[in-house]
Amino acid sequence: MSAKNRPYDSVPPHGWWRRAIADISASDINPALRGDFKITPEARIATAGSCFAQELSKAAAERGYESYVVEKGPLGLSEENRLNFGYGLFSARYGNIYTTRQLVQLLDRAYGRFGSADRAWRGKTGYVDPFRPFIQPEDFISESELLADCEQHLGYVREMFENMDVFVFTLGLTEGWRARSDGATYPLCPGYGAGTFNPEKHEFFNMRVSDVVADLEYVRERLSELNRDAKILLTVSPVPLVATATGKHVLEATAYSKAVLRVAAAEVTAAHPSVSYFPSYEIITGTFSTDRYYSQDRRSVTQEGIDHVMRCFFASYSDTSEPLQERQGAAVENDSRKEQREIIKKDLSSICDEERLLEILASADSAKT
Amino acid sequence: MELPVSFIQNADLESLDPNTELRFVHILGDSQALIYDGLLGKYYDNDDKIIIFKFVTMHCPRTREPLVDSHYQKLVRDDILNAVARIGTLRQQGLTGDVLVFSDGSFQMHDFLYARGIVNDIDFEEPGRVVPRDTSRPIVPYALIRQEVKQQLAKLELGSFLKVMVNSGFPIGFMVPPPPPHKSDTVINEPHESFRPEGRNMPIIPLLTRTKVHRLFINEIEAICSGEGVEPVNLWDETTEGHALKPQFELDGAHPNRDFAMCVGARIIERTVAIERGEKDVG
Repeated sequence: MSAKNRPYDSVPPHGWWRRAIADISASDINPALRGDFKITPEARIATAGSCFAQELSKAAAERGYESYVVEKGPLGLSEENRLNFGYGLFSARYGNIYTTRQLVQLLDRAYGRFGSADRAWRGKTGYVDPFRPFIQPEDFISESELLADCEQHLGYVREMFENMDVFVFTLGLTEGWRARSDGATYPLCPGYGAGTFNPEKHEFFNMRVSDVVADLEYVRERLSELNRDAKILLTVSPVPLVATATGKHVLEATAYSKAVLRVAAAEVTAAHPSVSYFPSYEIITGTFSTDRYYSQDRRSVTQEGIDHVMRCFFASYSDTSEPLQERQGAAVENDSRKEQREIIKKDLSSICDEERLLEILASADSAKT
Repeated sequence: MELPVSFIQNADLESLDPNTELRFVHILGDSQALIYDGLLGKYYDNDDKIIIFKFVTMHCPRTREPLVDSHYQKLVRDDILNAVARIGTLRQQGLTGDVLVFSDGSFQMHDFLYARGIVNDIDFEEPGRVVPRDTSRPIVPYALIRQEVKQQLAKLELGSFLKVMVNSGFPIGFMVPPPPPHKSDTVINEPHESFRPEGRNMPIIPLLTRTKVHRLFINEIEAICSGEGVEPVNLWDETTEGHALKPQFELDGAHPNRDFAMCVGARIIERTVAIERGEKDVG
């Protein structure tokens, strides 16, 4: 091989650690290269996944992009109640979707391809949706109300899948709990905040790369049937596990979970031009972030970290080099969005299911000691 | 057999029989309170003693500014507090009776129904499903509507007014919640001097939805009353048929008539006498 054709000679600056990481300001590091496709402000961006997906949704709206919300709730609601009852957090009122298996089953439930025997749990005062246990602060008043709301919700899910332009899905966890009878997957372990755990009915699972890939392939294929032009944008949540049921140390379990999700995302992205990956996980967990991108609990992502992710996201996927807000030279954040952001800042635990689990586990832990 | 309470058209209060006692019932509140003004209720005691209850309304109008305006809220608050104080002063001077009634919540309810837009296009299920749900409209969880109603009522500061009422020295106090809805979905749109100008083009909200909103407001007002130790006067069952106000009680789209006032007035008189005799509410 001649000196001119050595493989690393043609590696661009972003391929060198020193030039891409070590020698530049941490806040300027952008591992997100040019996006595989561009997102215009008019694009209908649907969001789903773990809590981190909510941030993307909010940031997009603040920059003048259309946050595609099909299940909006009634007119005239107070912003506080709108968020507390799960309207507008994601494109539809499905709450957090932590695993790809949940996503597959949501898609199949929406089109009548999957029907779980477990449809309603008895709550403290009424009924709870096993698949959206914290979608509202109070129980549904009756099983009929829950089922009617669920049926309506699945209609909105269909509308979303069939009309969105981009589906942003944040992969959260590989660990989950499901019904032994039919594999119906819950967002949280029954018995924590909602439902009753029964080892004869419920079982733990921890997905492997092949499981996640199979799920993502299924979703991609179904979406291509329902909405041929829709793009999929995958991200991996940088938020560590609240707790693991594997028996391993939570740090090891977190590393496994994120590694599996990251590899699965890479597999699917490599195979399909319509699927893209955005490295939010890498931005938050990169060595350059030191302690600045995680809060004191070493789990929650700080606003500084989120802002970095969003800068990179819009630099990569927007159809211009600058965020729309800056390009227009005017703030596009409206009062409602400001209010929403303030409320979320004040009470994130009411919006993120896993945060609620954290509280429940903490109270269980303190009760033991 | 003569009922213990009847209403009379006129009475020469200056020349009452020595065996007849004159009492005053002060009704304080929004426009719903006006229907009681001047009612004369006659109560026959077991010992053939006659008590005449004269209803006097102190209206705190709500027609000046939008409800959401904080300045306006303060005006309403001041109005109500001043009214309680005025009645209290009259009572100290021996010029008035012992019964104070707060009739309110209707204005907040109409604002919720016709200005906020929350139930314009949706329906909801109520506990027990006494009033059915319109399945052709999108469903919204009852818990969400209840939260919104609570927030709407919080603007009225009902709890604090009831506290003032309880602490104002009147031995007996009642709360009259909003009346049942008119059966017509559109009569609310008909011009009427007592409606706000913006009410002329109010949205059309079907009866069953309106009924459930009325019931929710009444339930929440009753819960506030319970917390403050004030007895609510709710004659829903007696004054409705087909989930709406009985036709004989209709006045306009927002208010019931004098006959309705007499039903409520009779209950207030009966309960006043019962309370004074140490009887507990069995209603």
